[in-house]
Amino acid sequence: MPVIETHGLTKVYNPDKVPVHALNGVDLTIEKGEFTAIVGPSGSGKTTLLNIIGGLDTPTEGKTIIQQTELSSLSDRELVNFRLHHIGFVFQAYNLIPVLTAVENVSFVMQMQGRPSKECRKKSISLLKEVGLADKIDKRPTELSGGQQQRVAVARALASKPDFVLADEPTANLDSVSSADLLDLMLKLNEKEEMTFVFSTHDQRVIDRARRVVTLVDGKIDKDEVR
Amino acid sequence: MIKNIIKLGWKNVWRNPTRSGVVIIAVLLGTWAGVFLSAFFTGMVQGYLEDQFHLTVPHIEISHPEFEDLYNPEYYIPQAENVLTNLKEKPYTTDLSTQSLASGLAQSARNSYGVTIRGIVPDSTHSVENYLINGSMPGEQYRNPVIIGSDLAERLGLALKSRMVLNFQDTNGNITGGAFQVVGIFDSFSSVFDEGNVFVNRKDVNNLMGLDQQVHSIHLTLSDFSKADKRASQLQKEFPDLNITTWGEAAPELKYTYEMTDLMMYIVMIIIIIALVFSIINTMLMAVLERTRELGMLRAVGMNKSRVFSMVLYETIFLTMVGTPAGLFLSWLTISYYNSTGIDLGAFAEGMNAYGLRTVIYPSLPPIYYLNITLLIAVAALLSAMYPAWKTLQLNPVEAIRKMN
Repeated sequence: MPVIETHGLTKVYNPDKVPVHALNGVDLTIEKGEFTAIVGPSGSGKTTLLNIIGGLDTPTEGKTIIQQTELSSLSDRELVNFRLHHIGFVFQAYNLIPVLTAVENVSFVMQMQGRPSKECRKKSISLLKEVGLADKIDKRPTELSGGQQQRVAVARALASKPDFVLADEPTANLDSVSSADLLDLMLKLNEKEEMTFVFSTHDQRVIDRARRVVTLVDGKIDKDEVR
Repeated sequence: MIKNIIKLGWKNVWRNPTRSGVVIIAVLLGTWAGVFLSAFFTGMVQGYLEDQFHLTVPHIEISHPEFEDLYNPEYYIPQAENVLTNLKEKPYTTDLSTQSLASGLAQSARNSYGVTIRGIVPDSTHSVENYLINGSMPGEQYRNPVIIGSDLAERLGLALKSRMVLNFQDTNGNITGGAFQVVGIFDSFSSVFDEGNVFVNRKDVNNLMGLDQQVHSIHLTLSDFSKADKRASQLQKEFPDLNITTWGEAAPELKYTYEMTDLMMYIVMIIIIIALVFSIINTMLMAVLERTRELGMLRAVGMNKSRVFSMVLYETIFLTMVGTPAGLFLSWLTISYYNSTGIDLGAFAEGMNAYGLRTVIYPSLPPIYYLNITLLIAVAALLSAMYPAWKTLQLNPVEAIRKMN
C-alpha cells in the first residue's frame, strides 16, 4: 500500500501578478520502506513538492494522499495534528531547540503527542543510542557538531513514530564525513525499521546511494529511476 | 504538555540572560519606584490628615445650628453634658473634647490680627500641647493665660510673658475683651493655623462672654474617620436639634485630598506600568522575531497555534513576574525602614508648612495595595504578552522553512 500519493499536483505562486509555476502536474507514488531522493536543479520544485507532501503548503490543483487521508480534506488544526502523528521532518539547518538538551529535543515531539514523560525519555534515549549519540544525551545543541545535531534531528523525526520522514537537503550543511555518516544512519533505519525516507538533495554522493531517484525539471517529473 | 510548555517558556527566558536581566531589573525598579512613591504619597497624605484631625478639623464636630455662621456666643450647646455622656458610650468613640469659641481680634502694642479664640479646659491634654515650642499650656499660675502660634507672635511682636488684648463679642452682642498673658508659643505644621488661633482657659473666655460652663463645640474622634458620614447621620437622628458636621463637610479640601490619594497612587503605578509594558513588548517582539525559524519548525513538526501562543505568553509572564516579587519585596523593605526612621524633608520646611504638610514623611502602604499592584502588573504582563504571542500565530511554517534553508 502506498504511503504517499500525489495526483496532478500543480503549484502556482503569485497567480494574479507574475505567475511562477513551481509544480506542473506531479504524479508520484511512494511505497512503504522506500528510500527516495528528489533531485533536480534549483527552482525545479523539489522543496515545494516536499512542503506539499508534508502538509506545510497547499497545491493550486491536485491532491496529496497520505496513508489514505487526503490532506486537503483536513482543517488547519487537523493538519497540524496529522503532521505531529504521521510525518517526521529533518531540516537543512537542524533547527533543534537551543535551550533543550538532545534528549529533551527528541522527547518534545512525543510530549506534544501526549505520551507519558517517562516513556518519552526512555524512548528518546533509545533513539539517541540508535543514532550513535548515547554519550551526548544531556548536551545542548551548541555543544554538538553539525553532524551530531543532524543526528539528533533524525532521532526527533523518528520519535513520533511517523509513517515517513521528509528531509529537505539534510546534508547541505555537513562535511563529507558527517554526510556519509548521516546517510549510513538513514539507510540503516530504512533497512532495519523499514522507515520510508523522502529527501531532496543536490549532493551526488547522496544521490548515488538512494534506492529511487526522482528527477524534477521545471516542476515536472523528468525521470523516475528505481535502482 | 502544559508543564513542558511552561518549562520551555522558562528556559526561553534565560536564552539571552543579559536582555532578560535588563527587563527583569527594569520591572523590579519600576515596581519598587511605583510602590515606594505610592507609599510616600500615602504617608504624606496620612500625616497631613492626621495633623489636621488632631489640631484643626475633628472627625465630627457638634455645635448649635445657629453658631457656625456668626460665632455668636449665645448659641452654645444646650445640655452639653448629656450629649457628652451619650457620646462616651458609643463604641466608635475614641476621644471627646469641648471648646468655647469666639471670633475676635488679638492686639499687641505693635499690631492687631483677627483670630479664633479657643477656650479649652486647662487640665485636659489638648493636641496643641504637642506643638509647644516655648512655655506651657494655660494653667492656673497666671491670670488670663493664653498660648499663641509662633507666626502670630512674630506678627504681633509678642514673646513669652508678653501681654496682649483679646476682643470679642459677648452673649449680649456687646464687644468685650481682656488682657491676656502669653504663657506658651506653639509652632504647628500649618502657618495659617499658627497665625489665626489662640488657646485660652475656657473659664476665662466664658467669664468674658457671660457664660458659665457652656461650650460651643464638641469634638468627636472616631475609631475610623472614613465612617464619619455614617456616624454623623446616626447622631443627627439622635440629636436632631444640633448641627453635626463631618470633617468632609467642614474641610472639603481634606476630603478631596483623601479621595485623590488612591487615584493618584494608581495613576503613578499605571504610568510606570505603561512604560514597562512597552519595554516588555519590545523585548518579547525581538525574542519572537529572532526565533522565527525555530517557531516555524515547531509549527511544522506539529505544535499547534494555541501551544505556540501559550509558550510566548508564559515567557512574557515569567519575564514580568520574576521582577515583580523582587520589586515588591524591595519596596516593602524600603517602606518598612523609612516608616520607622521617616524621611526628613527639613530643607523644604518653609514651603511644606505653608501647605500644612509635615517635614518628616513616614511612608506607609496598606497590604491590600501590594495585592492590587501585583494584580495590576499581572494584567499588564498578560496584555504585553498578547502582541508578541499574536505575531507567532501569523507565522507561516513554509516561510519559516524557506528562511531556514
